Amino acid sequence: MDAVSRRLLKELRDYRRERTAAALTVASLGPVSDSDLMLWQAAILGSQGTAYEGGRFDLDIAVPPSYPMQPPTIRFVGRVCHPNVHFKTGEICLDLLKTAWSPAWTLQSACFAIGALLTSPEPDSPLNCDAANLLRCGDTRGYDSLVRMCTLVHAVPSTSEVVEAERKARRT
Amino acid sequence: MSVSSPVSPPGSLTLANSATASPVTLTPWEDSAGDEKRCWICFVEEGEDRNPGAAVQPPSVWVRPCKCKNSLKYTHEDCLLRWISEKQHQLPPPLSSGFSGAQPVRCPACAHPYQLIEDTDGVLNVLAWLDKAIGTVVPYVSLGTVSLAVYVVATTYGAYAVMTMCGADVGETLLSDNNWGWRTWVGLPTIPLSLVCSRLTAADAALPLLPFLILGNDHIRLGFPPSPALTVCILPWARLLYNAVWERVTPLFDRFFDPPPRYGALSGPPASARTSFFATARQYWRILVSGRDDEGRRLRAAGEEDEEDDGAGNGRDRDDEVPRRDGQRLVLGSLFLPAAAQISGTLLVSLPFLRARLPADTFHRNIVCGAILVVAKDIAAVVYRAHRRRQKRSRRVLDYRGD
Repeated sequence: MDAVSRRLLKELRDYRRERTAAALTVASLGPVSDSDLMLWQAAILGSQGTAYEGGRFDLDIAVPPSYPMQPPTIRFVGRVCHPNVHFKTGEICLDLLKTAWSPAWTLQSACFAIGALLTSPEPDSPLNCDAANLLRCGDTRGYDSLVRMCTLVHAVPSTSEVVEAERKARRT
Repeated sequence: MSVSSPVSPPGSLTLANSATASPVTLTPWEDSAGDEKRCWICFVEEGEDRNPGAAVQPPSVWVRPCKCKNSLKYTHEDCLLRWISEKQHQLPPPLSSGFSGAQPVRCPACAHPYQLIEDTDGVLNVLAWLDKAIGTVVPYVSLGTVSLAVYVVATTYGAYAVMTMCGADVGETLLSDNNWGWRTWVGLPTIPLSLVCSRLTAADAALPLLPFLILGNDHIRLGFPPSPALTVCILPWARLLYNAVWERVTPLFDRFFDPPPRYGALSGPPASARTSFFATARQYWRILVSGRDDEGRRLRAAGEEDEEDDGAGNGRDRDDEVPRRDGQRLVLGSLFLPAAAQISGTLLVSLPFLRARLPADTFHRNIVCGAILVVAKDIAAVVYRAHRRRQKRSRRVLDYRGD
């Protein structure tokens, strides 16, 4: 087993063993399939009391072969309304995922940092100009309602989906 | 070097406050701050196989490179060296520092610069210095080479133009070793440049003076017929004069080849069926003198865009009326002028009628033929434009008669 897989397995074990404060944000984290350790999936929850509350945001994580020397590539799967997240591609603008990466970070802490980025946007380096402009104009009310609508439409599991999931769970 | 501190992702207030974002407090093994060593890069603990299954284990040299404690205290030396070279690869070496290494890499958490020891020797220093010196010089050398190439091409073209315009015999004398001085080095590459500039208005102020500066006093003698040097000096002035006259005359040509449509009683006085010759002549004279016709409309000169559009139905579209003035046409057209002049000179002189009237020496014959060519080309452009406009005005939409 190579060093990358070993480290990833350790990260996974650490995540499963210790549900720390970060677990409140990072709802799930793990490889997509058992055969490929280099592709992970995560879900972060919008924190309470913010416009993202109630949302569950899925993340795609691609681990480079040179991990942990190079940062993982993380993007949102669904649509997220945020100044530093590309609305269509889900690309995330966060220095931690580019220049500020250090091997001391883990996939879990990176996801946690993305969760923290949701509530503390940086409108001066925007990937989503519309959202950033609202913030730059000081229209926090408009920004909040836009974010809330986007979260409701794209990130909150609808009732029918929940019912369907429960029915499936009962059957199995 | 911007310290890559995991504690502060980009300008996020709450994130900076919530110190939980730092892996120092996040990582779960922090509590177990016992004696066991765990590499903060590869997460392998002391006593664990670093490469299970392999016969040869990499040497596990533990180092404590910075001030960090707990989970960030220990690391494998080879892991840290890989990380340091990764960071050095990202950061360009600063100009001021020596050749031996780049900026010191700092610990991403405590910003302590890692202290490295490496072997240096004289050969390496010399080679590194050479490497850097070459890297500095290369851009300038390549820039110089490119400009030299352009210069050589321009000079060659200039020599070609001289040979074409003066004929082989005179040209060879002119370009012989005896006459080859700094004026030649400067003058020959100026020829293509000024040919191109002659098609633009940008260098109008400089062109008339250029021949005097380059040719020098020795060659310019007043007299008739003018010496070739004097002709070259006169040419730019002749060009300015021609341009000025042409600007005045073009509206006349436009009017002649393409009389304005008459709108009957709708606009202006009702036109009689036959305009008398004198009325037409007076009209033309007014246009020539003032640039305006009887109704006070400014008439456009050649190639000039019509800013003030007169009336509704008469608006000019910008598509195909004015021949496009693009750079390729302009450069190629001006550079082909000597060749075209020489060819037309040879053709014209073969007519016995013209042979007696054209200047005897090749240079002046070619100059005259070039001038004729320029005038002919301008007239052709006007005729072409007028016909295009007329064609456009004749455009009608056919009714559909299929059913």
